Amino acid sequence: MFKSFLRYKYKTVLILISATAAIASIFLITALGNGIISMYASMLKTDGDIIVMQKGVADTFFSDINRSLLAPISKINGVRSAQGVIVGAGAIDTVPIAGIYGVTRNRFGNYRLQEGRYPEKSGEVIVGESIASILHDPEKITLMGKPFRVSGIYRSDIGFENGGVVIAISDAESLFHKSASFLLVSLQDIDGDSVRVIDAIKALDPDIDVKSTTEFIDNYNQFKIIRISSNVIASISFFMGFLAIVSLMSMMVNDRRYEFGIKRAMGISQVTIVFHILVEVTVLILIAFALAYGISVLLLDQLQHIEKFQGYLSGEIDAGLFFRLLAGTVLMAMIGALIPALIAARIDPIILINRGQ
Amino acid sequence: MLRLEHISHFYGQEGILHDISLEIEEGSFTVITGESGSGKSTLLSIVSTLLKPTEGKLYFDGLESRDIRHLNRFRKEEIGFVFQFHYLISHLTVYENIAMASNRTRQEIEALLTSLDIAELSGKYPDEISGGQRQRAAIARAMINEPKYIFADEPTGNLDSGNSQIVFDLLRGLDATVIVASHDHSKIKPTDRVITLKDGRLC
Repeated sequence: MFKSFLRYKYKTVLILISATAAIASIFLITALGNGIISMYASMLKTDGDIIVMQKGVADTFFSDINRSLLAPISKINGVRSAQGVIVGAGAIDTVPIAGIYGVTRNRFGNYRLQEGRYPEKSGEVIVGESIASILHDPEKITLMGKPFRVSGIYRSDIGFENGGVVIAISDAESLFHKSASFLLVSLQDIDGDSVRVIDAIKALDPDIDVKSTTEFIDNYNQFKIIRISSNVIASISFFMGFLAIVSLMSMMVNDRRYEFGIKRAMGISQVTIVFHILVEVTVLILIAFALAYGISVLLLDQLQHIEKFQGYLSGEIDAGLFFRLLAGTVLMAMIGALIPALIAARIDPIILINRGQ
Repeated sequence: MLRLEHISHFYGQEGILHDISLEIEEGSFTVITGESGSGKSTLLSIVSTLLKPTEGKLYFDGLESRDIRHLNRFRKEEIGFVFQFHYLISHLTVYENIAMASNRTRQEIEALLTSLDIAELSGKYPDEISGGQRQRAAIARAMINEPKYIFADEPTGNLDSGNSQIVFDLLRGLDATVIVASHDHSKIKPTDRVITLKDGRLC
């Protein structure tokens, strides 16, 4: 059944490469889109069940909240810990813009130390492993023009945090002129305490907005924009990739109309011919899919380690994407093969032979 | 018996065949002749069910072709076709080209190839053998199911004189109703029935 592939190796390899490229592009674009959302979501979800930010501000970047609220929040029954964070961006040495995270001391532990120690006094900073590799002086660094001493190098599972620096929140306050961007509160029992603790925090200050991080991620405008953009890009990628697969398979089948004409002239039924085509196409596309998956996993892994991207490019292929893409790819390949095959099945054999010569 | 009633065929506005009616006796050897463009190949395609005529009816032993319920099976069991350019599938070997359309055993196929003196070509691909050998392989493919009707469209069109004679002798020796479209009058024998076409009409 697969003799045509073996006999025309060059053609088969070309089709395989094209299909693999189309599938891999869907994998990569969708995975990178998902990865960006996932990284932001992970950052907020890590050690935070509740997020507290300034009321009426759409973006954590512009939020300014008094971190003195941390003390009364910590005393609320059911609260395990409360942390303050300032998220900012600015010039770090020669890098024109990178993430600067000012955090309370009890959040340092989120950044896994690779070497050195956490900041102990004002003017000390730990740097992400991506940015550490491009520092001129491993001991000193300037953040927005102010000198800091590097006390350690950290690694975070959230890719883009590796491309930034972490300082004490008091130092960040002097850089960004705000007390905190948001507060993250973790609970002892998220299911049992969430509503009660949110109400208790709201009662502390009328100018704050308090949400569970899950609700925040679902409703936060920035995430909505990222998610919509990512979905649009993924949809375009799916559409273009699938279109390429349909065209490839369609061309492959069209190319063999002459053979179908001969087979029908020999009395082989249309059903048998179409079945053979579908089996061939399915096997070919599954090989392309496996190759594309392997290449994508490899590339995504490499992208995370490219210094230039400072960890901002991170993608993940979850089971949902894998199976969605597998089903879509096989379906599109079959449609691509089936349409010309069914059209050919309705044409008189001699016309197929003459046209296909 | 094969009967054609008022067969006409058009490609768009262009008439290729006009009101052809004729009968062909079972077991006969018939040559359809005529100049290039006279409609020989189109007529042969129609009588072999490979092309539906625009008008008219075709009967096989009294059964109209449109009433044949399993046309594929009918083609497989009752009809053998030899094309001018052999039309062997290029990625299949000679043996596979023949086996593809048949349920015959390997021994039966190889016996047929031996009878056509091409047994040693069984494992070769069409582009590895000569024109005459390809045409003999195509005849083997047409013969393998021992069909009642064998149609051959210019089977010697690309062969030298020696190979042409071999192919004609092979076809003439078959135990079937054989219809050959050919412009080569030199191969016609007095015992053959000759149908001549001119501008799509019977002469």
